[in-house]
Amino acid sequence: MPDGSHLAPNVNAAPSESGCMAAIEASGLTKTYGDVRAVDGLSLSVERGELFGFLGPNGAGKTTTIELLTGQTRPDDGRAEVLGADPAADPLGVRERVGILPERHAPPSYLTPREFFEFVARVRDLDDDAVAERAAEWAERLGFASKLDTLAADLSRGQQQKVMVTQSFLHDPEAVFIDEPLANLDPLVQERVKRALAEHTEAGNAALLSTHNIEVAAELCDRVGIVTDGEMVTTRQMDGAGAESLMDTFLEAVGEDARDTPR
Amino acid sequence: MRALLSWLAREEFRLHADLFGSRRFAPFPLLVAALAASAVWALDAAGTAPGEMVTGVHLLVFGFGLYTGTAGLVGADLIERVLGERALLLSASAYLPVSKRRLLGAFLLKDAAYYAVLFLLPLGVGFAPLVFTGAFAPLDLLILWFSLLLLFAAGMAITFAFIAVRTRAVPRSALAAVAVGALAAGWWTEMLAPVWDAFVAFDDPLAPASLAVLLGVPLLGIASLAVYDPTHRRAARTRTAAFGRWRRRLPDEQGLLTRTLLDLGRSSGGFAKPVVSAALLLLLTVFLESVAASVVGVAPAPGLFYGSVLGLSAFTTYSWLTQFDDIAEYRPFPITVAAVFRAKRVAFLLVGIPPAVLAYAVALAYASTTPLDALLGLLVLLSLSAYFFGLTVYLAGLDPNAFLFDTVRFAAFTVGVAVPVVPALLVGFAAGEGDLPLWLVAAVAVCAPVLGLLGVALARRAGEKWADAV
Repeated sequence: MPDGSHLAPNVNAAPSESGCMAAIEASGLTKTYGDVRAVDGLSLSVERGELFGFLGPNGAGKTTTIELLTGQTRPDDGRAEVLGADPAADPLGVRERVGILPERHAPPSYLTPREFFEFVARVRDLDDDAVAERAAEWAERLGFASKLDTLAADLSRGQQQKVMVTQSFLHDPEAVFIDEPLANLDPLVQERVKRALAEHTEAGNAALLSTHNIEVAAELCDRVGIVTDGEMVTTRQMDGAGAESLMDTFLEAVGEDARDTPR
Repeated sequence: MRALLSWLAREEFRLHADLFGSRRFAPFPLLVAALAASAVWALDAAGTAPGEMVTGVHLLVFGFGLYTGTAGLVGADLIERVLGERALLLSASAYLPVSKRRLLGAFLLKDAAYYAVLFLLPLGVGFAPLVFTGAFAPLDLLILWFSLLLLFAAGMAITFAFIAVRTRAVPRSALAAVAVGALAAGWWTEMLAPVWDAFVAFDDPLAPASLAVLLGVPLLGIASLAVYDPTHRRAARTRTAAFGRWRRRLPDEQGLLTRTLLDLGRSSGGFAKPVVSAALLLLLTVFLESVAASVVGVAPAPGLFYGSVLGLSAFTTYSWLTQFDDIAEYRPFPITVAAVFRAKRVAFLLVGIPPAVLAYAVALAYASTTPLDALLGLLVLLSLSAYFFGLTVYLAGLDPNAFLFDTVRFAAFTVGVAVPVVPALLVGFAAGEGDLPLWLVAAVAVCAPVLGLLGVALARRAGEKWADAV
C-alpha cells in the first residue's frame, strides 16, 4: 500500500507578500444561541504552515467557532478573516478555498464514495479526472479502495469518516478546519491521517484542528489554544512539549473538575 | 414494560417538541379536531350521508396505519436519516441488556397509543357536529374512536408483518405476489367488502367478525414480532458509478440535481414512489368524486375536478425528493441554499409532473370529457402543481414532513391549499359535465397561471428564506 507521500499538498500557499498576515484570524468573535453564549469574544490567529490545536472540553464552543470561521453561521459580534476574506461577508468564497471536516456529518447515504467525490468535484468546480485520481490515492492511503463503489449508507462509521477526511483535502486547500478527524478510525489509519495533516502544513498551508484529545493535540500541533465556555483562556507553543505538560496547562486553564459546559 | 412505554412516550413528545417547539406541537390535536369538525359540518350541510363520512375517515386512518407500521422497517436506521442525528431509545438494544424484539414491540405499541390520543381521538371528536344534528348518539363518538383505532392498528400490524417476513430473507417480489394475489382473490370471490366491513367495527362492534378482528390484530402483531429477526442485517450494496454519466445528461453543473435523483432512485421504492403516490391520490379522488357527485346530485367537469385535486401530488413528490438531505449537510461546501432549492425544482419537474399528468390522463380515460375541459383541467393541474410545490418549499424548506405536527405551519399549509382548491372544485361542480361557459374558461385561463407563477415565486423566495434560517 502506498504511503501517500506523493499526494503533493498545495505548495503554492506561501506566506503573503507582507509576510505578516495570518491565514486564519479572529477577533472578539461572539455567538449566542438563546440564553447560551456559545462563543464569547474569542480571538485567535493561525499562521500559514502552522497546525493550530483548538483544545477544550465537550461543548466548549469549538465547533461553533469553526462554523463562524467558515461562514456557516454569522457572528453576533467580532470579525474574522480567512485567507484574506471575511467569512461573514463572503462565505462561499471562503468555503471554496478551505477544506472542512465537520464533526458529525456522513457522506450522502445513496451515493458511493466514488460518486461523492465526483459530486465534490462539481461543487468545487474541479477537474473530474484529477479529482478521481486524487481520490483513488487517498482511498489507497486510508484503506477504503475496496469500498469506493459501496453505498455510503452501508459503510461503517470508520469508513464514512475516511471518506469525509478525503473530501476535505481533495481540492488541495490552503487551509483546513478539521473537527475530531481521528474519530472512529483504527490506529493505523489514525497515523496516516496525522501524517497527512503534517504534510499539509509542512507545505505552507494552515490547519485548525479541533479536538478534546490532549495527546493528539500535543503530538500534532505547533501551538494550542485552550477554549472553555466559549472563551479562549490561553494559548501556548508546543515546541516538542509532551501530553503531560499540555495536560498541566489544560487543567490550569479549565480546572480539575469535569466542567458543566453550556452546550 | 410499563416503564419502557412511559420512557418511549416521553421521548416521542420531546422529539416532536424539539423539532417544532412544544407550543407549536401541543395544540396539534386541537387543530385536527377543529379541521375534522369543520369538514364533517360542511359535508353534513351539503347532504352527505354519515355512513359515507365514516367510510372516508376509516380509509384515511387505514392508510395512515399502513404508513406508521413502517417504523418496524426503519428501526433506528431510517428514522435517524429522516430526523437527523438523534439517538432514539429504539437503538438502546445495541448497548443495553434489553431485547431488540421487546423494544420494537414496545415502540410499535407506543406509536399506536400515541397516535390513538393525538390523532385518532381528535378525529373522532371531530364528528361531534353529527351528535348535534341527531345523526350520532354521544356514545357513537366513542365507538367511532375505537373503530378507527382498530383499523389503524390493523394497518400497522399488516405492514409490520410484511417487514418481519422480509427479515427472514423472503424476496420482495414474493411478498408483492402474495399481496396482489390476496387482493385479486378477495375481488374474485367478492370477499373484499365483507372483510372491510369486519374491520370497520363502527357499524356493529359486537358482530362476531369484528370481534374476530379485535382478537386477530394483536395476534398478528405478536406473531410478526416472533417472526422478526433482530439479527437481520442487509448486505452492503455496491453500485456502478452513475453520478458523472447522469450529470452530463442533465442540466446540472454542480451535481445537486443528480444527487437528488440518485437518492430517490436508489432508496426503497425508487422512482416508483412518486408514481404510486399519484396513483393513490387518483384512487382517493375517484372515491371523493363518486361521494360528492351522489351528494350534490350532479357530476363535476372531470378535467377541472381531477386537475384540481391531483395537483396535490406535488406535496408527496417533494417529500420523496427531500427525504435524505438537509440544509446543514450542504453548509461545509461552497453551495448556496438557493442552488439546492433550484435543484429540487428541476427534480420536481422531471419526476413529479409526469406521474401527475399520467394520473390525470388515466382519470380522463375513466371519465370521458370534452377537449376544452381536458385542456383546461391540464392547465389547472400544472398551475396548481407549481403552486403547491412553491407553497410547500416556502413553508417547510427541506423538511416537508414538519407539517405533520407543527400546528402553525400545518394551519398555514391547510389555508394555502384550501384557498385555490375549494373555489376550483366549486367551479368544477358548477360547470358540470356539459359545455363550459366562456366566462368560466376565461376565468380559469387567467387565474390558474397566476397561481402557478405565485408558486414559482414562492419556490424562488424559499432559497433566501431558508438561507437566513440557518
